[in-house]
Amino acid sequence: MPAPYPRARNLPIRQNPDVPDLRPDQPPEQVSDGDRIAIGENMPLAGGGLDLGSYLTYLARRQEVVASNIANADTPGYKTRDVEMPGDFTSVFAQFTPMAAEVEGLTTRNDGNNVSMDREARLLAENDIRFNLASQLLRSRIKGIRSAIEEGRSS
Amino acid sequence: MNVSLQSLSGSLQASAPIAASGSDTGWFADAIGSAIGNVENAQSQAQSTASQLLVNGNGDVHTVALAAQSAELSLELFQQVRNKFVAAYQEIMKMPM
Amino acid sequence: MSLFGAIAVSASGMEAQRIRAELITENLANAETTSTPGGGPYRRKDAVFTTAASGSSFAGTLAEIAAGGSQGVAVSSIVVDQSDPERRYLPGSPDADADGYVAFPKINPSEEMVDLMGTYRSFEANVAAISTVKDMIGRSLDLFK
Repeated sequence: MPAPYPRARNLPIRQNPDVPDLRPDQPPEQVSDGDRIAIGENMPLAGGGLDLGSYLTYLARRQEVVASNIANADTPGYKTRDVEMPGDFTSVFAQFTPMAAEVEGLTTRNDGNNVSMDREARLLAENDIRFNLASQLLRSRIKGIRSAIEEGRSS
Repeated sequence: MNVSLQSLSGSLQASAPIAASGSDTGWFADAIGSAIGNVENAQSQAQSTASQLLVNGNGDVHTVALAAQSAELSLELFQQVRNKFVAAYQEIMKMPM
Repeated sequence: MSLFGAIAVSASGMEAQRIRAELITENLANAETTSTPGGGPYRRKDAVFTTAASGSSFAGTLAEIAAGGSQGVAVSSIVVDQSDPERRYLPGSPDADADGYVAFPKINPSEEMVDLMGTYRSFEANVAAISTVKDMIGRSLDLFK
């Protein structure tokens, strides 16, 4: 079973940054991704290469739709909606607008309403927990980056 | 909003040696210039997402928070790198010729 | 719409359920009311729910609402039961008609009670949604720290 997100790459940190490329008249070559100092990606528990910011946005949109479903649980003719997941979050999203779509497979009652309060209650709790997890991961990543920046501060 | 050191350092790959004094400072100045540009971009993006949320009610709190953190870290990183370069330059200038 | 819009949506749900609960208790209180100021027995009332954009200062752009982001609920009208009332034979009653029948409201207290319980459950679900969304906004604010 493939890993849900790419493993943190073991990228080499440049040993002697000032030895190679002594060409003051030229800008440094555009290095490939493999050469860049990617301290953030290698940190443990930092969420790997996930775009957590977009994941939070997705969860927020999803929770809004759950709130709409709960509010309309007794509205005749209302159909349960959900937000489509825009692929996995392994790459960064520049911009994504989540769209709400109707959910399949729910039983419709006599008044045309198909909201299942059990499903909505479950999603309410799940989205909350996931949001908590993702925001905590982001916080530790931010903290790690900050300490990586500051650790270079010599006396 | 992707917060990682990789995205922050951007064109701050100027970990190459300090250019010799004189007229050969072209690419170094460019590198520093574009790094400043990146920091400014991060700051202005943080401001625009914040005003979007507060004035228009569009957007999420977490997007604003991440943009603000990103801008702050970007600035801090730039300051640290600048300090290092200045310190190294001063070291070099102290060398007896 | 942001998460603040979700709070407005849940608040609209609470309001709608509250109105429904009021109507149900009115029905229960008047289950035996045989004469009203307007003439005739009390007639059962019911609320009609419809999906409506819930207004809030954070409601977002019109385009987002059209895309289906913010959909609250509102009571569009209150329907009064127009069917024929129940007639019971009580010749001695002051409200009896020429044949001795009294018109009673067509209200089944058990049904009303079940509806009331359902209303309460939906109301509580909306309250839980507000609490959860508030929690998520709080965690977003923690990202500033």
